[in-house]
Amino acid sequence: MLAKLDSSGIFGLDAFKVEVEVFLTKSLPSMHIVGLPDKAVNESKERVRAGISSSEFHFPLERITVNLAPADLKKEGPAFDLPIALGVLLATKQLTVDNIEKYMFVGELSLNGDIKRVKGALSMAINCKNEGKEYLIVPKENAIEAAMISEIKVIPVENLNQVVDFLSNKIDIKPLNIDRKSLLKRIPRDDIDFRDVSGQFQVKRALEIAVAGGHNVILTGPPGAGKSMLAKRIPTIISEMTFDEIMEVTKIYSISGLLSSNSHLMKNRPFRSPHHTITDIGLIGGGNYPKPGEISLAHNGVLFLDEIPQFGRNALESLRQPMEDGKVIISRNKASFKFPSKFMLIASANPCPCGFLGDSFNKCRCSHYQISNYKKRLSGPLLDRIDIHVFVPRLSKEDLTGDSDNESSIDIRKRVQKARAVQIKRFSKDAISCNAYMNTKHVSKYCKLDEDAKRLLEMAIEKMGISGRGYYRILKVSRTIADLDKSEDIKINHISEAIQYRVSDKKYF
Amino acid sequence: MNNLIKIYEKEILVMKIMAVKGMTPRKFYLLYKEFGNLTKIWNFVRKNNQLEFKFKNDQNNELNIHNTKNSFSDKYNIDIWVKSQIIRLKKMSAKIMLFDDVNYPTLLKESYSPPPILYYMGEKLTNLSQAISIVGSRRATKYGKSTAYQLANQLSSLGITIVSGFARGIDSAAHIGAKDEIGGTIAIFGNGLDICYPKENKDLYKELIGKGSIVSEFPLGTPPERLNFPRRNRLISGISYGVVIVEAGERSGALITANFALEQGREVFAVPGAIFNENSIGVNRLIQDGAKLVTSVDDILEEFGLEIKNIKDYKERKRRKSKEEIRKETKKETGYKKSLNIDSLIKNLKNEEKKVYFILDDFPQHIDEIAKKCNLDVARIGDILTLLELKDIINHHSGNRYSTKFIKDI
Repeated sequence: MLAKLDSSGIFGLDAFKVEVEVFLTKSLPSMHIVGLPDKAVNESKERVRAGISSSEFHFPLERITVNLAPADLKKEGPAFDLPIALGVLLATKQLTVDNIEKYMFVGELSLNGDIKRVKGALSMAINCKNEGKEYLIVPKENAIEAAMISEIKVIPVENLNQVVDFLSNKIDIKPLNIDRKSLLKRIPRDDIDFRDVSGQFQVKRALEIAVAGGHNVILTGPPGAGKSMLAKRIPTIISEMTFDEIMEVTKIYSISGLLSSNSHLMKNRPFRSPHHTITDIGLIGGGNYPKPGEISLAHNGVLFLDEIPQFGRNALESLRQPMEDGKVIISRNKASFKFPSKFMLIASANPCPCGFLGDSFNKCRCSHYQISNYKKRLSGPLLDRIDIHVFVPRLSKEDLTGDSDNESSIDIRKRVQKARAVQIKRFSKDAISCNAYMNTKHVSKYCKLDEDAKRLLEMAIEKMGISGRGYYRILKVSRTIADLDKSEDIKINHISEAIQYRVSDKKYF
Repeated sequence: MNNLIKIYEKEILVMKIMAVKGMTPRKFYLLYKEFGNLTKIWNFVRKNNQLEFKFKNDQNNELNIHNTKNSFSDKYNIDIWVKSQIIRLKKMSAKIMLFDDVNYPTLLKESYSPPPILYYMGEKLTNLSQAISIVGSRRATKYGKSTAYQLANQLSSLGITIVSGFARGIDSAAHIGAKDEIGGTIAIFGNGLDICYPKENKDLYKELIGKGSIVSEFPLGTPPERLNFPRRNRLISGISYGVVIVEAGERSGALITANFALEQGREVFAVPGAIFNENSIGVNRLIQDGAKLVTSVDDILEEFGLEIKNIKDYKERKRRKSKEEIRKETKKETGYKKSLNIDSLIKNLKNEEKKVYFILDDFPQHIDEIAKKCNLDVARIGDILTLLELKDIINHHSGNRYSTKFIKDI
């Protein structure tokens, strides 16, 4: 009267093994699920009852107790429908399987017995491998994602009857075998390219430097200048993701249920641009069953905060620690969760509330007070983490219509990759990967200036009133410029170009 | 306290009279002519049953005499108010100058109904000989600020005191230009002397108390209210021989000053600006209407028979000074020779730098545009522009735009 089989549940970004026990007793017909189920798990009884009946099996008129072990971890989502249904069939002897412990089951049941996709299939597959199981029975729609783990046999299934037939050896379903290399191959994106942006040479150059050194960027400029257009194209010049990176990102997207049915893997670097009304939880992650926030969804990619002064102060300030650590730890009373958050921040802002300060075509109508208030919305510590500040002017008619030879993303990416390779080699003994993450120790070790450059920087500090913070930012950026220039030392022209991207505190932000 | 009241008897009477609601300098002088005695005026005013006083928003008042009521209307309260004013003036070591003071600025005294009472700090006001005011837009351009600075600096070095309104932009530039020269500078406030408005001029405020003067016709604690500023502007033009307007938009407050100047029979000067610039609409119109166009200090000086004792050795002193400056600069030389002579600087530029420099003009251009004209890539242009900026021969404007520097030997 007792059936036992294994399934998998999601905890943060990882999955854990859940033992599903189904026990039948002679009593008034009823069904109970214990083991901290959430609403979706609890409602699974109705789906299981209908699914079993529609698949032309008999649903027992007995008291059914379902236990999901370990009993102290919360279970969520409809992925336990399939194991519960199978448990009922096993307990009523409508199905007999020899080695049930070799299998792990996940899947949501539809009322007619079909099996639908679940969230977090990749993490479940990893869990399946770690638990030493041989087979993972997953909904067909999740199969490719799960099959990325080559050590297990992934059986894609479409409905309950099929599973029963497979388990009782009536039919044979071949484990899904995919050519991982071909899947990982990035389909070049032809829909967006830096070639589409005419003019804006300085901004493009700044973005190239930013990507090469992993620097965060703030773009200021009047509305309609093309800030969002430029930001959207940044992922196209970042080097391709490695296998591990793809797996990390896919895992996050899988758990958030953001993989669409035709893209089983996240092959392109993510680009997230949340609306400015987002809450701090939405940005950082959290909630009752903690879910990754936008910063984790932007992991290994770009987080674009359009109109950054409009974001809530709490949300912005909560960015500081994840930006520093590349991960965010969310502690709730039951447990704490770690989500990765290594993203490149691209912020955009208008220079003033009306947006026309510094514009050559329109006159700014804001008062001094309004402008200084607007600027105050971004705190110093946050700006401290943004190395490159660049102004995006509005294009003139000639620039818009004229066909100047714009560089394509691929050309830019080649240079970026070379500069990145230099950095990886340089930091092989340090715990960092790119120039933006250098601390003061690294800066004094790796940013060696020649005599002329040193003199120029001293002069700039004196004349332009550059602060201590600004000094380090200039050094870091000039290191990246030198890397792009394949230069060992930082030369005078690297410094002087880096000064261009400094924070001109008095002018904008 | 009683001692103080005895010492300040006259001042207190004027303060009280001027605090009466509806009292203006004109009425004050009429009453003064009628009675010839301050006590009599006060008694007359006091007998009036509907006595009400102004200056109700005095937030800094330590005695808090009217925290319940917004205005105070009996004799008892006005006495407390005056006492607190006197104590506070003493504390800040601010002083009072009455209309019949010997040191009261001559030109102002001759003007139509000048303020009967002036509050001031700093000694410049008491030994004022000649003054010229420089006023203009608060949202000034670099061109405007540098013009105001240089005009003020040179006039002041000739011993002329520069008067202005302490506002942002042109006014501040004029004060800064004049403060260290012999002429000095006077700032006229549209609020009480205890309030520094605008706040970002805090350092300048302290400096002016030491080196120049700050003056107001409003008692302590008067907030910078809109209506105060036209009155302040009248004082600015009244105290000076002439008014120089550097940049004024279509409806700038500087134009009000120019109007007062005409009313008071003062000379009006205007510094012309680019016709594209909104900040120049007002000044250019003034020139159309007959204001004198200013291209150098000489244009201002030639209008007056000003007694400028050292005008002859002005040029000599200037030559000497620039030499001294060069010597000073070369002492702390940091690799690039700084020199006041822009031509020699340009001569010393490298080829590419020269090319970029000559592409630039007075009108700010964006870096992409410059790059296109020079046929160089932006990375290189950015590098060159930074060098030129550090050499102090070009200006960096908001929005990564660059122009040549307005260096002119006025």
